[in-house]
Amino acid sequence: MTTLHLLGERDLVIDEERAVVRHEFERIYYRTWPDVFRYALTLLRHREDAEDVTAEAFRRALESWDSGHGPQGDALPWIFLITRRIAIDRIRRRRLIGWIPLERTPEPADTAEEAAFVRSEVWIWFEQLCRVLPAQQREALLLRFQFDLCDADAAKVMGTSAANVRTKVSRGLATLRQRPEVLDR
Amino acid sequence: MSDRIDKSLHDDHVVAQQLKARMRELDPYIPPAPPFRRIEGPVTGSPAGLPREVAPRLRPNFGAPLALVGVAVVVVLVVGSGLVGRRQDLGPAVSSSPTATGSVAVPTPTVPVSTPTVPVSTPTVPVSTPTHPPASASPGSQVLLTGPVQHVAWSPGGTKIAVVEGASGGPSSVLIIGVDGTTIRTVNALDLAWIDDSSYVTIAGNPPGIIVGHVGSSAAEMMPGNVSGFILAGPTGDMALTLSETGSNHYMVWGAAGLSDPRDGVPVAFSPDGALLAVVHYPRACCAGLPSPAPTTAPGPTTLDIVRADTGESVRVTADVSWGYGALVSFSPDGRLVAFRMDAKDQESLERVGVLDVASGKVWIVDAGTVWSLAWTDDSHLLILSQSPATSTPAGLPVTISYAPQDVDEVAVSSRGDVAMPRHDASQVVIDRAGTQETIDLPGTRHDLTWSPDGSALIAICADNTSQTPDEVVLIRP
Repeated sequence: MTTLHLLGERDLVIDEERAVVRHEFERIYYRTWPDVFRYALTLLRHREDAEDVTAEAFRRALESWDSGHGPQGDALPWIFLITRRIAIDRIRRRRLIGWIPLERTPEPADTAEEAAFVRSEVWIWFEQLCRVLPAQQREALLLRFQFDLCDADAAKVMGTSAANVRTKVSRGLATLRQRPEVLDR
Repeated sequence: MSDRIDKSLHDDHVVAQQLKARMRELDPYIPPAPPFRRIEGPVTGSPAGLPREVAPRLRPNFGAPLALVGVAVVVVLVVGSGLVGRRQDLGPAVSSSPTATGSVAVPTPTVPVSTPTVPVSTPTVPVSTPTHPPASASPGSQVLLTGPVQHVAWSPGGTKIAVVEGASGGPSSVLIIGVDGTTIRTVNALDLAWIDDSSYVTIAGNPPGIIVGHVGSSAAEMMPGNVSGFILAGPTGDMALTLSETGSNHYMVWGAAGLSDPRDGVPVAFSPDGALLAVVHYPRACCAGLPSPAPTTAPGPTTLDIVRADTGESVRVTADVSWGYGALVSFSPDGRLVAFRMDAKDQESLERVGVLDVASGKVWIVDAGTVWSLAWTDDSHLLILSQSPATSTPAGLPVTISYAPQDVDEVAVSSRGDVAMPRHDASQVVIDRAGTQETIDLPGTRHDLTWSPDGSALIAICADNTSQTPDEVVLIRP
């Protein structure tokens, strides 16, 4: 058996391993996509932006995954972390675009689908929630109760301590207890 | 006591379940996941009929740029912090990182054109009454204007404020007001930068052009140039004006000698003495015709170029600058160091801050978490605003670094060294004066802060929690 032959077989093994690893990511992708979209939506409060950010988050996650920088534990907090960074970057740019008159192209109007979503009962309720709860308390509550992350994972996503997450959750719950009409139907 | 705790926990559980149930109502609006192949990118067939390979995707590639611009990467051993200077008590200090990169100087291309000036009739519209009547505010602050606002610019002497009105993307005008809120003049322009307290440069939208105007006079001069509407004002009356061109970026510098020839790049920051200008070069081949850069898909090098403002001569170039509309680049007060946001390619959850020594070309790298803002508080202190403070002050970095508190989303440092920090999601701004803090209530959140030149007053642009466009201009006198 020649050296070239051996090298060829090694390449085949590497290809097969890569396919297995890719398949694992694909499985995570379909399993976590709805939650990642929900999370992006609650951060950005714009459905089409949330779709863009979700797609970009998975694209970057796949790059990291391929280069051996995948999650060390559960994949969801890891993808949330990537999503959060992209969303923050987008919010930051949105704020800057707001006052930098670089090239004055009018912002495109919302699509009919987006407009219908904004008028939906659940979204009107969510906007009310946003007025009642500061963003970080809201985020901590959703990470803990909507996505069922533990304090430590929520803290990793938010870039803070678990104690800080507990404080934000506690304050958020206290606010909601004082404003029961927000959660009443 | 125990009953009360049990009841409280029960209440929390009920509230959490109610929240979860309401959030489930979003489910019908959650679109299905797109096919995985769309996330993967284009796919090519494997010649051996074996598992498919993913074709190379366009991705930010800072390895190639490093090679292209000849940047040498030097690994520096950690031998101790060597930090000097004082550190304000604004947050936890960070530890050290062993990595540093070198950089090399390369020339900046210029595009020569003639720039004669042409006298024109004034485009200004003098008015005598405020467009927006001042409203009441809490002690220490005063609402000067209400209505859609993009940003403000203090005149060099602090006697006037230019307010760029209008929503993003829509028509805008510039209102020149006194510090008491009285309207002095409305200028039909996209943006304004001050030369001195009575003269200014505006970018006119229709017809497009660069106009030098005067507060007390209808005289104005128009200069040629298809300017996109973005002015970067320098500290000494100089300014950089970006040009509108498809597929490339050019700018001109307006100074005592007049208007420079167009130069390549996007100006992002003047040095404190106005002698140097930080310029970002990024490839536009992918983005021709688009209204915005696409930093995540742009191939080739994106570089930060430090040039002489008067001649455009390149003094220092470094790579890895994170580019987008939100380029964060900040000169130290003595102009020797430049802090800039970098991409952390190997860690998608991290961002980095580079600190460039302009004289030597050395770059220190700080793993800084999710960076919102950078500010120099004095010669020896770099303040980083990060949502997730990470690690590392590099060994040998001749400044100290601290992080702003996490409930802050912007910092602004006055010429006196006072630090203004609006609290995240709160209608408050905290003013820190050498460790003594004062909290001032504001009428809204989402602040943009601009100190007056002498540091005696601060303008905050506020919005409510839901508005897309900031709509209140508040004057604060700490």
